[in-house]
Amino acid sequence: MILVVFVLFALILFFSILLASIHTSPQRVSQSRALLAVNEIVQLDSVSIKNANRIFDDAEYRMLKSNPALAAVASRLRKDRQEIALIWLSLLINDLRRLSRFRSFLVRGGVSTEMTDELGVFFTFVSSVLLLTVLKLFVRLFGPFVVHGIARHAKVSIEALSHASAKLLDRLPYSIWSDIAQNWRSHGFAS
Amino acid sequence: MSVVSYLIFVTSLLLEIVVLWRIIHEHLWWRLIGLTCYITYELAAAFVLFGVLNGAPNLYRRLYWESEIVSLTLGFLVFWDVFRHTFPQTFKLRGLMFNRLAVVGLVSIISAGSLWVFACYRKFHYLARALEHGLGFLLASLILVVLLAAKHYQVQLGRNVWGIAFGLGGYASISTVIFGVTDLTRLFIPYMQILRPLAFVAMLGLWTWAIWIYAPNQAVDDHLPTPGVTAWASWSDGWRRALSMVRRAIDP
Repeated sequence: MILVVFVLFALILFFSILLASIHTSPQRVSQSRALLAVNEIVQLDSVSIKNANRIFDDAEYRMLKSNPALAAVASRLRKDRQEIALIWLSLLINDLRRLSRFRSFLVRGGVSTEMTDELGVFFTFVSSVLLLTVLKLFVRLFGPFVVHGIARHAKVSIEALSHASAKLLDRLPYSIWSDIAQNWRSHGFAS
Repeated sequence: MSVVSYLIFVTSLLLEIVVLWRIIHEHLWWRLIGLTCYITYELAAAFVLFGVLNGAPNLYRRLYWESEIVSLTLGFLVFWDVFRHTFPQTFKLRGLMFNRLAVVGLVSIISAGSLWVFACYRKFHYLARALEHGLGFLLASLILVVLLAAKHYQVQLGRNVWGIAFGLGGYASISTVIFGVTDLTRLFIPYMQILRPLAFVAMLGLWTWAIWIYAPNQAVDDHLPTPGVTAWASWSDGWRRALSMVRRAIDP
């Protein structure tokens, strides 16, 4: 009888360990903190522009264009939006480069990483820069409103690279994050 | 040995070699000294037992159980690795945690484990087998206590420690279940002979993933602002503002 009780105990023990392990698994809990730190250290310019999607939204342009008396204003709006869109896309490309440099800086500093992660980040970086360059070309040639659908997803790559950098930063003790930030700035990588 | 047993044996050997290689490659041997000792022993024991099984099979049973006892004892070193990395010396509650674990946890767990050892020994009259039950139960319980404490104190476990703890706890507990069931009935023995080595292989697989890269726990104490530092910062800020007001008053 006592052996049956112990087997039950052992079974409960096994399932408790399973549950406790699920609850303590190293998830993205601290990723948000690392993500904030990455944004702060790398100083992403494109993040500071809120509602960037509106740059590519043609609702106001169409409204102005529908009134012949406001056609010139509509044309001016389109030109201004085109310039802003080009600036924003350039900022995104710069941020991507900065994030990529920051990641290399961490890896060079000794943070261990996996080959699959590195390949994934490299692919994201190259494809994103290519996409943004093509978008810039389209905006320059056809105006900002033609790329409305695609431009909405332009920030996804920044988020992906930020997460990848945050994942690396998270592997280091929190106490040395400030030193990393200082080194990053003192070596002139931030610019 | 059946083909399946050979496959499991070879897989576990390969995984042990991979774990050892990753430990050396990631310079983790001194951080995870318990795990290093455990894996090194398991690797050596596997070769010796394989030799004994083919060379002197009459010695195999006794050597197997004795090596299992040594292996489980070394498992406590792995537990110590998990404990000291989850609650490092900088962790303010380490002392309290240690006392609680020692007084409340260990006493009750050791009592229950000893009772099981006694019950098993009374039935089989084989100390090594009885000890295996008790030590496995004790090890799994300790791992559970550390995991629960980590959850309670919101200690964020890194991939290394979490994988090692989950692997060891899962293996020790499932082994205890398997041995417990074989004590009750001999019907499941053929399955259990496959299931337990499979659980061992699963643990090694989890460990391989866990230590593939160096991913320690987040520091637990250093992100908390020290009261003195906060007070100093607040005082300095107030003083700076007061000076600024004085300057403005003198030279508006």
